[in-house]
Amino acid sequence: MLSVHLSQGIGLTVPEPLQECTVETHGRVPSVSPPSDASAGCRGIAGEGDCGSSIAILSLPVLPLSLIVATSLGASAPVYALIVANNSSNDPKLAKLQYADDDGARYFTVFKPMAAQVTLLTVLDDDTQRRFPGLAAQTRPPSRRELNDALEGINAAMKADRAAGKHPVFFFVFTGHGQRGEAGEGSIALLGEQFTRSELFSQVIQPIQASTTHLIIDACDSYFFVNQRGGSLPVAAGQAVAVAQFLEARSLDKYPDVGVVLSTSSQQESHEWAAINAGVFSHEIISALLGAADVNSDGKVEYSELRAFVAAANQQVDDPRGRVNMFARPPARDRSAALADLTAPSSSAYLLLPAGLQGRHWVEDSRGVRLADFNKEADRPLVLALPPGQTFFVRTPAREARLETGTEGKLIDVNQLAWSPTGIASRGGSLDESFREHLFERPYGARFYGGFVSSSGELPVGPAPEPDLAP
Amino acid sequence: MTTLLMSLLLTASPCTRVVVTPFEPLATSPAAARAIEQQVREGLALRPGLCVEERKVTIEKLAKFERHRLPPCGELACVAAQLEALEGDELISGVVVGAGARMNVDLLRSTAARTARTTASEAELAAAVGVLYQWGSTERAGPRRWPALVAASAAVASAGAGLALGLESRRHEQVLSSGMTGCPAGGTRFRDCVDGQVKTGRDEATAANVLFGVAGALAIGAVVLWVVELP
Repeated sequence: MLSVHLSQGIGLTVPEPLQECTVETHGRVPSVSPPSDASAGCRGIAGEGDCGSSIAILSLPVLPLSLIVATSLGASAPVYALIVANNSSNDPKLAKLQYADDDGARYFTVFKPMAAQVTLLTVLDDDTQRRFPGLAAQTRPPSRRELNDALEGINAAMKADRAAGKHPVFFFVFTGHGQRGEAGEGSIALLGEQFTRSELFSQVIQPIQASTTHLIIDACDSYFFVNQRGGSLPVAAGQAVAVAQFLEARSLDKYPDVGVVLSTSSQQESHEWAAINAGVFSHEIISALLGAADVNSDGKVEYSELRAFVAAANQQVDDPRGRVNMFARPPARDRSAALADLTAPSSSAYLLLPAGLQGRHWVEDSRGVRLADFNKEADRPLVLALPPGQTFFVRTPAREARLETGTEGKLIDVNQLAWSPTGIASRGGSLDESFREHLFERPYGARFYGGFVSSSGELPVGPAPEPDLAP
Repeated sequence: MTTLLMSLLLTASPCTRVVVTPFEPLATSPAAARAIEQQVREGLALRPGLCVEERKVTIEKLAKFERHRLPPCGELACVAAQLEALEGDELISGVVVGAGARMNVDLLRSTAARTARTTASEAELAAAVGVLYQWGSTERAGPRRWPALVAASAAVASAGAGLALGLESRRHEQVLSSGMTGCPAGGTRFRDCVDGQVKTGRDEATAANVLFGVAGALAIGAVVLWVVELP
């Protein structure tokens, strides 16, 4: 029910809905591409395949869910975030990831201003420690012991919140490798051991004290693993099936307060992009949660907005290796639950992009950490949350402007910035070019969203607030 | 007389006509946006030389635009066309942002010649209006006549009051000269009565002279103000 131009459908490349499983796949992911350095960019849980039963682990391969900001950050809905980011794999056949730790660091940066407690379990590599100075001291290793300790602490805090009448919101974010075990159960890679789907339910979802839980999982299956077992399987469909099986098998329906966001990309190479030092899917999710996906100007990012935003971002990517697809399912109890709530208390600063401004923009800090990408339609204003006290650059393909976010709560109008021409050096191969040229090429706004929800059947967001026209 | 003067003032003082469009809510409610808009309106109303259009009138004029909204302008020619359509000299628009459980506003002042922007928290609204008007109201429809007219009006009023008092003083003088004072005859009471009438007449004459002086000064001031505002 967006009141604005919703009717114009647009051909969307929307993440495929879950499908019946017809082919045995192993998991997730796809692929058909040369193994060469494939594993280098992969994130995922690999499932082996049977779509029928088993599979996948969290089966959700690559997904990021970052729900960050969320839903409730207010005093009555404190937010807790547990971020697990692990570059390494426990399978020698899987190459080490490059940017899972960067993604974890960026999730941390995004959650920090708005959460009551953020825990980052990761081992930052040298480059990432340079890009995020001082962050390493705030991390703990992504081991099972640390995971259990973190969960215990967070649950204790959330239990106290509930006793005080509050409604805590919990985000569990994972970026790294996923794998399918011998028993067909998917797992994600912690330091030195796997964390299985059963454990996710028994140790995270079931005992969690949160009123609402959001799972964001950005992991993919191993190209090698899939290829060895199944040859050139129709992986995309298999991936979807794996996800479906995973969800069904563990009955997320039993947990109506849990929402999930998962990447279901078909190829590992699509998952990380050197130009932004990040996983593409996590980058899109973070962009959305910072406010870029808020299509109705209510300051909240709901699941349907997130899905539409990611669909728009990837729609024009012509290289099939670069396609990022997503599966997202809001909590059954409240399908309008917000993943991000910019209206809640936060120490963020805010960047305003007024109505009339349109086109592709991205925001990165002085160390080159790209925080958000978006392609704005002109009809409505947009506000993005940014960490306070930092220097950022707002860039377009043709110009750039520097901004200081200053104190928390400060509002910065992008039209007040001093813009200058910029040149962006191109690098990389065809996939890099495809990302550079076509990622976020499709403008996202009320028109795109209207077409998206009308074709996908999603529960649309409410109408945008209009100015008070009473005399 | 007063009505006549006010009418004269309103019609003859070409203040800057400011049109404030309803503020847009972003991550907040329409009511919150309106409350901020009202504070901005009050801040504008305190600035000399500005005539802020009534909200009701503005909304009626906006009915000719889709969704009662002015489309965003990228060029000054667009702003000029909107000003013409709204019969204003300046536009003030705003976006009220309720992010982070705080209220901030992004203000835009547009004239046919230039624009000014600023952002402010709720506590900084008065200062923000001042920032918008750092370069003054250069788009006035004409010279500012109202100070001269006010001075002239005050001069006329003073002169009128002086004239009335002078005539009253003259009447007392004539009464005393004619001997028809109406005072009780004889003795101290007669003298006191006559002295009282003489004093009253003198006081009135003094007040009349002072008022004539004030009127003269105001008249000179009015002429100076008028000349100063000549284009």
